[in-house]
Amino acid sequence: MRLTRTALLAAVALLAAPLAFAQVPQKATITATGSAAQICTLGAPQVNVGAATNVQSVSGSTVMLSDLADDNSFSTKATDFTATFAAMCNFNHKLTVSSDYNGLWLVGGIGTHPGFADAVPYQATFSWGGQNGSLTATAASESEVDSPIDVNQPAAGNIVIHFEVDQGATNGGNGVPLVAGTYQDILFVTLGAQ
Amino acid sequence: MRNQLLTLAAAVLIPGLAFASPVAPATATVTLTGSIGNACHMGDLSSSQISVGTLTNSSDGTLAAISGSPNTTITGSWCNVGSKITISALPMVAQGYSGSPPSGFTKAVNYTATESGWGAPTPSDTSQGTTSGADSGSHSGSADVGTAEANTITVTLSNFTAPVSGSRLVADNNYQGTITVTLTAAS
Repeated sequence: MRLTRTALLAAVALLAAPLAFAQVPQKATITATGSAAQICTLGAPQVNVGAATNVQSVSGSTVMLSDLADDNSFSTKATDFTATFAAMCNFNHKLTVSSDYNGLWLVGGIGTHPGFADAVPYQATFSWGGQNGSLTATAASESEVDSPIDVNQPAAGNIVIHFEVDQGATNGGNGVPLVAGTYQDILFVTLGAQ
Repeated sequence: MRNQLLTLAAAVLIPGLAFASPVAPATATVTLTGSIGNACHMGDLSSSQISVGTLTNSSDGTLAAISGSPNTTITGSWCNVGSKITISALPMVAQGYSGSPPSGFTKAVNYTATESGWGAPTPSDTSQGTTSGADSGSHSGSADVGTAEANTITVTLSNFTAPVSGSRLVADNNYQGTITVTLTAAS
């Protein structure tokens, strides 16, 4: 009989053990996942013509200078203006400012013009994401020039680029008169991966 | 078997008493008792992850509208007594971005996690992440269920927001947040 009771007690004890364990609060852990893609945005240039020097008008992304040449010397007239671009990159990125022709060059110019110049150098200084950079278009040769800066954080705001053409600056020397015609350069502003 | 032997023995030893007054049968009562503890069991997750997908608006990098109702279920849960169900949500944070993002950006996305299917009312909790990814404090939602319950629990995410309205999300392929559901048996 004692053996029987012992056996019964043992059986009860075994059955109760899992129930005691189950009284611990039960938890389920779930992970919510998502992703944010690398994005850069770049708006159209904005130029305050009123604050510029020697700028006639802005149409879209084209800046028209009033007079590239000085009326008396026919050499380069001092010019400056600031262009801003609303922009954003949500990752570590690179800003590259490029000059397509390395200066303002005479469009359709053929051959040499002794005593005259056919290109105008300029400088562009720019700031973005806490970084500063500069591009010098020397007008020494008609080729692309790039000036990149790495920005090691996301950035949002305005890319500010200040263009400056010095009085008398030409590819033929300081103060050399310019050949008549239309002068042009194309600047590229690029935001992308490093 | 033991009782049968006793009965036979009595028949052999006392045949002459068959004519005497009947004797009341001997009885014994044994009472078995046991107890069932208050207990809850959390069932199995259909998926331990809720994928929200792409979080950013490609036009400006801000938080996109999240379509649908991202959810998961827990099947086979039970409590053999009244219970308290608690849910807590921590923000989805960019796992690969170290440090605090610059002004105008965020590395956290907040949301509301709501439990349903386990009695009523349905508790919910909203994460309280800051742009730097930290959760701003201890918080949770809970509900008391008065009776035993055995049901499927559904956890649904909604109301996705940036800590600062209009802030942009830093790029990261792995934003993660944690939702915890707890079942506690009433004591």
